[in-house]
Amino acid sequence: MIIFEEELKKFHPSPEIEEVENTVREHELTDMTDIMVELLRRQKENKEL
Amino acid sequence: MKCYVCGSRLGSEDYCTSCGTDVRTYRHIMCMSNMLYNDGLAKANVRDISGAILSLNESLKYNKRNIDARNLLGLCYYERGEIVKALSEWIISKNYESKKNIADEYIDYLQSNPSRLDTLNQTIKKYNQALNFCYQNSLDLAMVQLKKVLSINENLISGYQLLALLYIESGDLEKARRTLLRAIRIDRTDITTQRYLKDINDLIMQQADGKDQSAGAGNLAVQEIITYQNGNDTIIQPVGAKEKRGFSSVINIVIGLVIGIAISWYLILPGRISSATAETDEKFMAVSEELTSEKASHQEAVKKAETIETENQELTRQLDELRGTNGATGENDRLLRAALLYIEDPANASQSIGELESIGPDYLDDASDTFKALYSKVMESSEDSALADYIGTAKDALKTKDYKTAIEYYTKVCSIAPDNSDYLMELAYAYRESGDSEKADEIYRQVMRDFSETDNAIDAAGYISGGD
Repeated sequence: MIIFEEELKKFHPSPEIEEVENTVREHELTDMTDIMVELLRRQKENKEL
Repeated sequence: MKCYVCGSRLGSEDYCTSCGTDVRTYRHIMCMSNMLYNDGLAKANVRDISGAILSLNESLKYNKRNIDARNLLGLCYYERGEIVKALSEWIISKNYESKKNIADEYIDYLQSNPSRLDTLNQTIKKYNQALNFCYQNSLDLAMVQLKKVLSINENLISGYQLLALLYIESGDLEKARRTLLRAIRIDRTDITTQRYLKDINDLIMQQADGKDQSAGAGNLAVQEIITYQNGNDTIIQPVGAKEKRGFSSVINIVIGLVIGIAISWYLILPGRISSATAETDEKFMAVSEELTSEKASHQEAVKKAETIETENQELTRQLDELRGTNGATGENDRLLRAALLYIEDPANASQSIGELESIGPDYLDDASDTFKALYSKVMESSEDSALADYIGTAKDALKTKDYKTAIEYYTKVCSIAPDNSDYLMELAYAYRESGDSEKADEIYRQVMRDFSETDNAIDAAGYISGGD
């Protein structure tokens, strides 16, 4: 059953063109490869210690 | 595929031949990313945009440098009307791969036409404004604003969803359903759209059930609704509803005919009649104007003909007068006859003068100089010769007491020789003896006035009857 007020909460203002820069900046750009490299780096550090 | 440590090209081995790094996990990650990209591409091809976005986002979580996946993700956002998200994906893509990247073209497409970009930005602002109206419970204003937004940015899925939600809230389920169907055409699998559509169908079915129950206990057949998809449309059809045929069809046809005839009679026919009347009036006006013009030209022609006829008659008359064919003696003939009479015999001077005197003074005034000169010459010559005749005749008349003749001839003598007072005295005498004392006295006074220093003047004073 649709409850208007509840549904309305799911809608959010859309970012405007001027805010593209912020959107790009806030974009989460960490991928699985980054995590893997980080893990391998830490593993290597631990081994060295 | 390149080694994530040294950047060398990897072969089929599980390690990098250049630096010896184990690349099994890395290769697996890359394969997952590519697989998810393929999945996203397949979904996008069948307009499962939401599914494609999910797959592509997953793909990018494995490999953020998967340019194809990122560009396609941007396209999917663009298709859903989410311009800013699309632009940000393409910008990031261009940042990772600046050369030979199709994201360049997408960005150029948007930025090359500033008005297009500005229009899209305006739609975003209006959408946000509509959302604010919703928060402020100004649902009508929100609807108006959203309709404007969707008329410009026809792919804004969230716009359709919000508008449908507003329709649902206002109880207009049919409009909500149609709005959602438009959203479905863009993105078939959007969860929110599907959920709203399902709820709306449920509500419609509930309403249909309610109507059936309220229709009365006699109606045993409970109507059900079948919902199915036909292309992009969702068809909702009640089960067991039979179309009425037979007599009702005949009645409907008859009603249709009556309405048709009524429309023809009251709407089409007056228009046709009016049109035909207007056309006839125009023709009548044209013919009338032509007739008036013809009449005017005819009257002008008649007038001209009358004028020409009058001129013709006048000229004919003048010609006849000149020729003497109209029975009247022409003035020229009179002058010529007078001259002829005098030339043949100067004793005919009195007759010659008679002819000259018969020439009207009006004609003489307008005559040519030659005519006037001949007239004067003949008159002068004739008068000299005629004077003696006149005097003789007058004297003879006095002797015989024919005063009338005497007056006539002495008058002529006086007109020829007005400077001789003797003739005036004789004329006055003739008048007095004839009994016209008044005229006689007048002539005596003339003698006294014009010839005052002569004997005749003294005599005239004695003759005046009043004793002056």
